[in-house]
Amino acid sequence: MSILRRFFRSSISGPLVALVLAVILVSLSTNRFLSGQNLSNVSLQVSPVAIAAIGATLVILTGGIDLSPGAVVALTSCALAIFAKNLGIPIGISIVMVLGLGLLLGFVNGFFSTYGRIPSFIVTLAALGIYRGLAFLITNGSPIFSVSPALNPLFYGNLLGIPLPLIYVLVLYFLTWIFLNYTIPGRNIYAVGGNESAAQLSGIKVNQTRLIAFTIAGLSSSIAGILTVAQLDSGSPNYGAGTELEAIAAAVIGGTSLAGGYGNIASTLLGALTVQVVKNGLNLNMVPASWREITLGSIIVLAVGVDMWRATLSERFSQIFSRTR
Amino acid sequence: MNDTSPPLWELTDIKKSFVGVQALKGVSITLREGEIHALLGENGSGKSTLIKCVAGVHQPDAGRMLWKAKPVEFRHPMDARDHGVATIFQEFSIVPTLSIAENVFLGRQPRRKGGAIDWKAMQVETLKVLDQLEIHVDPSATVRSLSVAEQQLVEIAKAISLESTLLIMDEPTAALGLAETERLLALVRRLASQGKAILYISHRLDEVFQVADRVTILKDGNLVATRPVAGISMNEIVQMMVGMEIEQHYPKVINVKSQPCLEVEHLSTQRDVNNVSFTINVGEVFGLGGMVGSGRTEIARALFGLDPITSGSIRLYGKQVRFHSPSQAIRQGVGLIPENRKLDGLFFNFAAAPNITMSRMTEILNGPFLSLTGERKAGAAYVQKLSITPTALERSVRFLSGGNQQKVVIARWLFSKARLLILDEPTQGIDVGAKLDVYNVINELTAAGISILLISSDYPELLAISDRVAIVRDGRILHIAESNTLSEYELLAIASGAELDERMEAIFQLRTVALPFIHQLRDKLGETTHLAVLDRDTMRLLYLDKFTGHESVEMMSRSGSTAPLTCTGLGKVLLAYEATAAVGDWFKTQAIPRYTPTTITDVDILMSELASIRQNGFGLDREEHEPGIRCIAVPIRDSSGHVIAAISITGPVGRMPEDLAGSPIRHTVVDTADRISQELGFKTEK
Repeated sequence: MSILRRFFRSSISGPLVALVLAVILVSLSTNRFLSGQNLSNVSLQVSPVAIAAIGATLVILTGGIDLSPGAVVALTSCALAIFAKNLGIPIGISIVMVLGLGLLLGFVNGFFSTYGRIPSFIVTLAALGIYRGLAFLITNGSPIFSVSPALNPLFYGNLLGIPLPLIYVLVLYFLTWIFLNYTIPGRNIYAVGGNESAAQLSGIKVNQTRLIAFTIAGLSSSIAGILTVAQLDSGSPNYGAGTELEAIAAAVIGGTSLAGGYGNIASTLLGALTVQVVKNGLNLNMVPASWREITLGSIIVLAVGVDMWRATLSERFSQIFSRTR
Repeated sequence: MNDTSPPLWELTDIKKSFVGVQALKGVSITLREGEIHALLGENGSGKSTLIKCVAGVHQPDAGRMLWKAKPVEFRHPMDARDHGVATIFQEFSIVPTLSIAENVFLGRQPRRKGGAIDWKAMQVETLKVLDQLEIHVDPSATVRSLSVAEQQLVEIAKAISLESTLLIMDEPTAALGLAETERLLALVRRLASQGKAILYISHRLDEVFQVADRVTILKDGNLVATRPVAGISMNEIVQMMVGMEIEQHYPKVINVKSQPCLEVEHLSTQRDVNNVSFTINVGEVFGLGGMVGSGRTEIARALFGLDPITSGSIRLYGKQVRFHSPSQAIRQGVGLIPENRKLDGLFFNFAAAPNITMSRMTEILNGPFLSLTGERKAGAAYVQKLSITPTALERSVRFLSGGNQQKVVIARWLFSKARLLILDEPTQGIDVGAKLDVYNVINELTAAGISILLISSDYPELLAISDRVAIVRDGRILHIAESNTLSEYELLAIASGAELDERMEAIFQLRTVALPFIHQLRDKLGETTHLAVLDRDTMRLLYLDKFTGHESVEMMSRSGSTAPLTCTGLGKVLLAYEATAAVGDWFKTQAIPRYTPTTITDVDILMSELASIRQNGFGLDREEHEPGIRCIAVPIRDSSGHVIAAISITGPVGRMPEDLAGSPIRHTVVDTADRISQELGFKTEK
């Protein structure tokens, strides 16, 4: 009983239950899900969204929202393709430049939504259009194929038998975990999201903190963009469609409160896996693409709903528990 | 109020529990028409739960609620509304972007035929309600443009505009200044006289004594007592609330050093600070007194780097500083505890330790990383030091009581090594025991060499805790004085902008002469002394000064407050030297109130009592105003021989002998009064 209760109280229980539930449902619907090949596919495919979800989580923790990850993925994928193929810049330097571009795009979002005092929802909604528009502009609207032979191994390679994308994801999540829990800027992110005016009166630079969160978000989306190029050996202004929704879904299913201040990064990874398992399940069952979008949208509403109704729900649950006792 | 009429509301044995906590363990209360019923208890005693049951917010687990002798069950606040219950909750329920009128009629706008909103009727009705409250603002003004106090009054206007028979007010004066509070209390009395029942919750006992007919005291979810206010003393109530005797309300230790900490010269800001100069010494508590909106908070904001400074200079420990942001101020050792600790002070997403380390996280760095064990240790140390409940380390600070929350915020500034701490209303809305804790913490802070800028609307507190007080009005400092030379009455008079007329000048002169003597008298006898005059406008006794004895006893009197003439020693003495015929006439027009079984209510006996006072030269209060309290009062004369004031010494029956007239106490008091009179130029004829 007490172990059960402790588990239900901990913040990781909800996301874990959601993931297990998704796995059970999908494996009941098709016997192909649990095959080794499919599971390894899932673990590869989850990486871009899982990494973009890091940024989404940080921004949501400060009480903001970032709608631009998909557009940043598109723009950075095209930029990488142009740098490496059209301009012939060595692939290593191209990647560093694209990471810099990601930082810049995130910084712009952060700058306008803090010092510019425009709500982040509006700034990143605008960025969603502008960044993807820029991607169309620099590519004339057509994808760039066969970027570099050096790229595919970055995605399909492995280290000691472990797929590389899995290593990227684990390393980045570990770094973010350290950042959020063991550094002052990380703590500031929770403080600003928890109570902005108290944070200001405690001497925390609120705008600076939000700017850091947005800049990291830009960086994480650009890593997602690079991984996408590595996976497909191409850049396209159409890449990353829906990534923002999936990233926000991962954070929210992971228990990050949209009001800010509450959430942990490990749960976001569980949330990202849940999203990917659901997508994979719909694919395996040959569900049309339109229904995939509808399902994902519904899951987001449900996850946010659970966040909003949490207090009421937990009261109901504990009432049930205390009655049965 | 008719005691025999059936009660409007009768709640019997109400029980209510929440997850793991039994908030009400069987509480009964009756509310009569036209009654002002005060509900008292420390935080967590079950007050809020009880009113939420009546207001239909909570459903009791057990017990009966009878409305006009009919059992009722509320599923929803609207059910309560239909039974005439209107509630003013502590949390504001007004929409800042709407106008006053729209707020007052929110959800029940008057309609014209065809369903369109009748704006004109709404405007007119709102104006009526605002007039009742004596708020002179345009009903079409946006609520956001009003001050916090005015917003609170709009909240109240909204509730009284409902056709209600029971009005529940939960700490209605918490955000109000003194003038607004007075207006509100007058309104409460008027509403009760119209037959409404009023359930009044407040931490301010003096307000309760001013307005309430009966008082119900809760403790830990249990009913302690329901008593008529006339038959109970403040001390009894405090004892019932806290369950232990509070020896002194205001423990004050003077820790002022001669070295200046903060020197402010000719400071002005764009926001209501106007050429302000003052110095705070190391270890000093410097009080800012004034009405809400006088500019007190704005001075604090300027010092903390929140509002840009337009001119003037600030020196901190001799070093010229100018802060453009709180983080700069904090780095130089300035801390601010905001008025609203929930909104502006606490991080509910953290337990106590991260809340405490927030302003100085560099302290818990281990290399580039935060040491969570170091943080826990630091947190635990401060939790212990300030006797914060240990569960604070495990759970969100959301779940702490108001007093514990306040101490967490104080701990943050202790941890960040603040040298100057600005406290904005630090005891607002916390219970008596927690207030004491805050005062003791202030003493510890000043003992450690920290200087305090204290803002408080609780004037007795401000005067008792501060070493010096500055009175602020319209963004200017009008007067700075040692707080023990300043009476609440003067503070109030200057802060409220009252003209210093001749009478007031005379009073100031009287006080200047009399205060040293009264201090001596208090020190000699160890009991509470008063200086009072007759207020001819209201024909009531006006207390100018009160010095609490070493062995304190709770009394209703406060500097600046008034009391009836007929049942107090001071009042009878002052009345004795008025023209006898005029006093006789006045008695004819006046019902003489009875406070205790020994109160004299017969005119003839009273007149002969006054005659014997003139003969003896002193007057006695034989438990006539408050049970268990005795007093001896002696007149003070000016150079022309007129009685202009009186002094008294007051104590509990245990320490004041029944034969006060024959005791050495009498001689001491009479002697003191004579010396004051001589000092004022009165020549005794031998």
